[in-house]
Amino acid sequence: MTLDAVLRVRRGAFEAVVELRVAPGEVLAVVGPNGAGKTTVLRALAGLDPLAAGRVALGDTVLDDRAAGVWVPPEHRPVGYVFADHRLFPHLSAADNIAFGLRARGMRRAAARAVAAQWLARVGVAELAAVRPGRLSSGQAQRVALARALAPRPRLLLLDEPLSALDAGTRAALRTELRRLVGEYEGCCLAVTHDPLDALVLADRIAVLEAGRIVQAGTPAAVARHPRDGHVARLVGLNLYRGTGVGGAVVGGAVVGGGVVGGGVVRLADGTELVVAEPVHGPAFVAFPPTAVAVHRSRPDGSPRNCWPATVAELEPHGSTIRVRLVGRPQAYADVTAAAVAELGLAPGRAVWAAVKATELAVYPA
Amino acid sequence: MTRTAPTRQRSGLPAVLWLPAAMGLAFLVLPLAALLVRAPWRTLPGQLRSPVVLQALRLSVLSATLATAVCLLAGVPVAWVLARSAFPGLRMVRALVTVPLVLPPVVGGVALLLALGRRGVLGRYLDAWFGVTLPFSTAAVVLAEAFVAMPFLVIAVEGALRGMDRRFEEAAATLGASRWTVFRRVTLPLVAPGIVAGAVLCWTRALGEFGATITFAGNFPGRTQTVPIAVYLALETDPAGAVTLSLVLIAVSVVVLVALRGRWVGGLAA
Repeated sequence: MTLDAVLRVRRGAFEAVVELRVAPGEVLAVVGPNGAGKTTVLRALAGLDPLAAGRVALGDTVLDDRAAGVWVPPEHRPVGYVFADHRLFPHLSAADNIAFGLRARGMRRAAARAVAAQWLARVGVAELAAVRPGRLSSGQAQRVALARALAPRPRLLLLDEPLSALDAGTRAALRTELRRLVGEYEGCCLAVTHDPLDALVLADRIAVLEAGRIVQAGTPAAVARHPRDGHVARLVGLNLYRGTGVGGAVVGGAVVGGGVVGGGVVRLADGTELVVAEPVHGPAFVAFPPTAVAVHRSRPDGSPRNCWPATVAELEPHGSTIRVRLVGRPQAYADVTAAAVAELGLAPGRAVWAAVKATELAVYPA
Repeated sequence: MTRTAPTRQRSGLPAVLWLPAAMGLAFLVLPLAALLVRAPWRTLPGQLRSPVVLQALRLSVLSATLATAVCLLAGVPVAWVLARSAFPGLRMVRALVTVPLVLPPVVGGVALLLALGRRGVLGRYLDAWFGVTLPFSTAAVVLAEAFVAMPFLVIAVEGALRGMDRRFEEAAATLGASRWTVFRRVTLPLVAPGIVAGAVLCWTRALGEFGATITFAGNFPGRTQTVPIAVYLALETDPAGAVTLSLVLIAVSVVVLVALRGRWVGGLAA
């Protein structure tokens, strides 16, 4: 039941021309700045906006084909849509919001109620069944919105900036939750976001959208390794690791950045340990931008930070900076200036030291 | 200095306006005050129990309620068409809907007679085919009131539909709801406050309707004699009774307005 879409959508003077293919169980993240046409693409897939040209098919089912004159209206598409502004019906309780799609598709009230209750539990807000959206926090509302979109078992799930309306704490928690739910989901999933971390955590593949065109696509690692230009580099430029927090061990009198005493350690699968500014326990993501990585020829002084030997594998220039791929433990990307490359004599095979301050590491519970 | 500036600005009404404003207010309040002053308070309880008053009141409330129901059934779809569709002549239709607002009610009554009277354009067939004669019946009262009051409902509901957040309707469509389901389960509940406001306006307008009613339905106690018509007739023969009936009309309107305001507007603000 693969999604196959070739779209040409107009919105005023703006035009998006996009080709997308998402396999069942796969998550494609469309990353791009605001105004790149991300939402336009989603709306066209859901049938909310007409295509100027193109074709959308889910497996053998053609949803939209301008040339053949086929158009399935939104209410008949097996599509679930999670809106950036959640759009929960204000006059219905959380449970009734989730039951809405089931009822609309003909399920009996009692059965729909039962399924809604299951979904409330699955997204972790079972106790909020009777609460109206006006009284939900933004995180709770987004969970209910997710359950509402998933409850009718759509074959295509569209997520429009699913985490952007949330504050940082809620966001980290829900990102993990979303990863789990999307991982369990068997249909095709398309998520649009302007946040590279969301994309890297959620997606199997990334497509970078700029001004209505996909400028690059591939696995997160591939796109991060060879960003097409400086803009894409910034957009997907993130070193991301999964590991386990091993507590708030005081790290050798760690005084890092703005005088943070103590901190935490995250141990990665290969045994590498990263020092972070705050104590962490349990599974966690650690992320830092390539710009935070300093490259030295010899071991730098003032050691309470992450510092490890690495080998330069690749140099990829984009814009005024050069992205250096470093092989070591951990692997990382570093953005350095052209001057630094010359000064340090960076070339593939060159042995260097990489260093990142603990305060540059963002940690998220996984 | 900066602190006093805003207050000065707020109270900076030109003094010239105060006098006409006071006169305008007096003009609105004085007649009502006169009604209260001259009301036969001592004999009021007895008069209220008189069959004529009770009969007229019952008929008024019944016909205004039925007229509101008619307006809701026909007016909400009209409002929906005005708010949501686009076709050539839409502006013309909107203008036509508001005609009863500016039309003298008596003219409305005459027009209803010409349309639905025994020899009317439509009425002759009603008579010939179904044996139905509308004029001078309670049904005629309801129709006359609905004719005059419908624009109030249509305008209120159209405004509510236009002001409504359509993103919820989109969300409902992506959840598999047909257009009718969207209308029933999303659009209607979301514009309910507007519909209630329109219905209240509609009901109070219908309750006070006089010109179209007396022209189209006449004056038959118990059948077509509503409170406003009873007031007008009583003024000739029984001025105290007219005052009593007027007070009843005011009281009913005020009670309904206050009750619904508290229930709906208050509820929305919370």
